[in-house]
Amino acid sequence: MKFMFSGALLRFADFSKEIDISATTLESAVKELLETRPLLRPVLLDGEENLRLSHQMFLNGESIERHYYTDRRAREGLALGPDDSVYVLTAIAGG
Amino acid sequence: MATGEKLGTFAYTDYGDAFDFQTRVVRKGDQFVVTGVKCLQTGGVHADVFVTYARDEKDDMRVLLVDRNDPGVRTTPVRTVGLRSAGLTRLELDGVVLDAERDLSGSDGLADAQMFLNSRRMFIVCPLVGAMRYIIETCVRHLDTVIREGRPLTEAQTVQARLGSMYAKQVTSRAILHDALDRIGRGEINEMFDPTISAAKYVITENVMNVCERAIRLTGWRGQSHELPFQLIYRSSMAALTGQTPQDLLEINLGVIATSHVRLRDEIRKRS
Repeated sequence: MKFMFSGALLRFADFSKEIDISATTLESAVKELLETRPLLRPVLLDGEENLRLSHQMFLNGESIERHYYTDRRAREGLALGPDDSVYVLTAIAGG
Repeated sequence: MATGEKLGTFAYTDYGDAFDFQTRVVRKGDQFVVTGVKCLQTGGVHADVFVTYARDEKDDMRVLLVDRNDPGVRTTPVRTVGLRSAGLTRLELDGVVLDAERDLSGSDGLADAQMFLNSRRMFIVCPLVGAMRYIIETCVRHLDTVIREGRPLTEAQTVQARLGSMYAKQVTSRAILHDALDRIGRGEINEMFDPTISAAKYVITENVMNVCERAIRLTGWRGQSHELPFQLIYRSSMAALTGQTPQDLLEINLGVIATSHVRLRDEIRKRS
């Protein structure tokens, strides 16, 4: 599978728009991603190691349901194949 | 705050973007210590407490309740060209020690900040739509009294065209504002960064600045004097250029969403 990034997140991903990952679930894919791009850890994960709700994630173009952000077990149960893509959209705003 | 005994405000804006806040918080035993400067708070002059956003040791964003009377807290008024009655302040935090109960963050302070900024974008532009109507009405009434070549300026076609352009901006602004508010009412928005809300804030702000400027051009020297209200509305509307997310940052975020939507649609099409 591959992660796809845009906008403000690119600087934390060494400006790679696409990153190939060999893991087979969403949870293990996120872990593998953060091992190769550690700067993404505090940006993608909150204090409880869940995915931050401030990002929008899309699996193969479809929005990922909210419980996958907040439930590690749900992420472990979400199988990914080699052709799958997870797109991370970030529109973080200032004050 | 919940019982109305204390007035609170947000202390979010920082010298750095959301991933690079300079205001830091560190845990020391059962307490937190906050150090930094928050640039701008609406109503800070009167606030008893500040809902303050700071970066912790793990680069996570925490939300902390800071009392005006906590040792190490200092506020100073911030002078701006408009919205002078908004009580804007700068909040300095010099090693402010807070008990653990002042930590409001849960697990994701960044998401909390995005949610409140999202909805506040409407609160800053709602009055601007009414202001646009007031500008146009005042402008028409004034130009009715200005006689050139034997007739009121409102009868000159060039002036009518200008007024028509201003009116189109006011009507369009009202329509997109109502659409955004309806979506909020129906719960049909993205609670973190909604493109409809953000586009409405962006367009209404640009429109009110344009309508103010056109009114000043149409009315000559009176337009920029205190005889007419345009200069006051112009100055006050400037707050919307930077408040609740600056216009230029909204352009970037909306551009990211526009390109992402195309890529996501292409991804779905490729797989169908």
